[in-house]
Amino acid sequence: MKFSDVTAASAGKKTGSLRVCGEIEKTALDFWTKRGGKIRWFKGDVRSDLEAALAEAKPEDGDAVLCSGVDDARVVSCVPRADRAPDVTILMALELTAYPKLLWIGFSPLCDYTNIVAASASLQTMIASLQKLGEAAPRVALLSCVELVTPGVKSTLWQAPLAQMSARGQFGKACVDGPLGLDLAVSPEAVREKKVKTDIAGEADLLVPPDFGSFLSLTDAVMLTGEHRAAGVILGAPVPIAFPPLATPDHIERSVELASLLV
Amino acid sequence: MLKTTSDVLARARELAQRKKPVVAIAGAEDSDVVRAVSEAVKREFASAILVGNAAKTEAALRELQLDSLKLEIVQADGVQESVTRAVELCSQGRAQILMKGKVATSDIMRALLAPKAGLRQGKLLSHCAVLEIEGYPKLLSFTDGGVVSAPNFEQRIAIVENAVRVARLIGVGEPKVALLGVANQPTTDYPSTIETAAVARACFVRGIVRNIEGPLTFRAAFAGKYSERFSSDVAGDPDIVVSHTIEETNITVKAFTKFRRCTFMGVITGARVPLSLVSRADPPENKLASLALAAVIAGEEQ
Repeated sequence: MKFSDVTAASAGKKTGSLRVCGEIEKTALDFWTKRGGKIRWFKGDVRSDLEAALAEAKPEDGDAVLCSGVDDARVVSCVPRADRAPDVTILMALELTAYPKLLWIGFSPLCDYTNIVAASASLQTMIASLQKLGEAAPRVALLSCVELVTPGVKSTLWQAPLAQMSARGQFGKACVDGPLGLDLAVSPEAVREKKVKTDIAGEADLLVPPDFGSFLSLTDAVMLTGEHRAAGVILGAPVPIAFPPLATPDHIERSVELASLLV
Repeated sequence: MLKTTSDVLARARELAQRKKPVVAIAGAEDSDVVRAVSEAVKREFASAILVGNAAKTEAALRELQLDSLKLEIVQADGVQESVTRAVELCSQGRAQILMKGKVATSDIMRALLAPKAGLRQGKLLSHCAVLEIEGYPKLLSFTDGGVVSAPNFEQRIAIVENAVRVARLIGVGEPKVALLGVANQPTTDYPSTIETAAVARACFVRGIVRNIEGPLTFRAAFAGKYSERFSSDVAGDPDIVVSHTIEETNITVKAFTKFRRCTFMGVITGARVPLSLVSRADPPENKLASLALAAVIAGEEQ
């Protein structure tokens, strides 16, 4: 999957009202007005803005909600949850010259991953989103700094049972494996060199870091240092929120397209 | 101030003219490691003692057409004997750098930390990854991505101290240290940010480093976006980046090496000798650069 596929899939969608929270240059939203859509600005407190925007938005009429220019940690704590929705989840998609397909990075910042029920629900949310976008059997790498279950590295202790659940088919067609170093998740050469047996085989679709700090640093390390295209979305609210990693016109447009496909 | 890998290699050679350091390689049967060490010998910034299965090591040298270098080989049967012998060479003062070959990190660390080896200085051992990243104007260190899995408050300070020492040895007089966090201010929503702020303050008050700031998100620390909103000497221009978890450092460094043109130099510091530690999957140039960094550390500390 590439962003061109995302754009093609969202092409037939209605263009309604785009509800915008946070700091965004007006010109970055030209793509929406060119499609005949309207812009509605919210310029108050992030929490109340998001609540109001989400309450008003009607996705069936082509409405969308966009939030940008606000720190991830702040946004996460302000997102109103949908009824019975799992934890708020941030899903980022990156198109990189050094990787042959879209690379997704996901994390639920408020989720207690040591709780296996919550952790598997978080993974299910991300997997279902990728499947909705056409990735029938996503390869999900649970990232850590080692490949072995290591008591001193706490993340490995919750990652291993999730991999076992996957081996027993509890994530359907998705393949979940971990703990894995990033090199083993995205480099077939590293898998060969290190002789580690993993069905991810260096071709991960989705990376799930072990903590929020790792999520933020990983996405920024990949984005800020090289040529890329990217999009982001927040799941778990009544309507998916377009959440561009950077407030650039391309990130914003890709993020709005992505959010519209995940309604 | 050394700004590139080439600078590190050149400085290692310069220091070797005063006294050439000896590298003791534990598990020298690894042909990649042998190649890197041989390159270091050819470039005249180190000499080497290869510890491991002598027959296999000689075969690796022959295969790589490096037998003419006539490197000293110490026979050792199995991993335990390899790491013990290599560490002994350092304890005896015959070697000034320890290098991991075909042995597990845990095995060589255990031997290095053994009281009878006498190589501990009462300090914490931590890993420092020094990166030359295309587009970044100087070397950038990340710590700790390989040794201290769940550091307490004092250990976090010791990790900073080790990284600052490495930075000074490569010529950064007043290193700028960014302590990463999920937010740019301490907040009770994320308790780790409060500890990070306390570590930053403690490092400053104890005189470990003058320019230290945290918590900073990676974006603020590296891209300096946040510096538009408040005055900061560190944001946008760090020499050292200290993550809150071992996973975060490990993943971030691997993100650079995989997705960006970047040279990686890895070293474990805190003991009497530096331990050059590279991943099996690292390309030869990273292994050579790591060895050069260890040689600079050993040379400057003498």
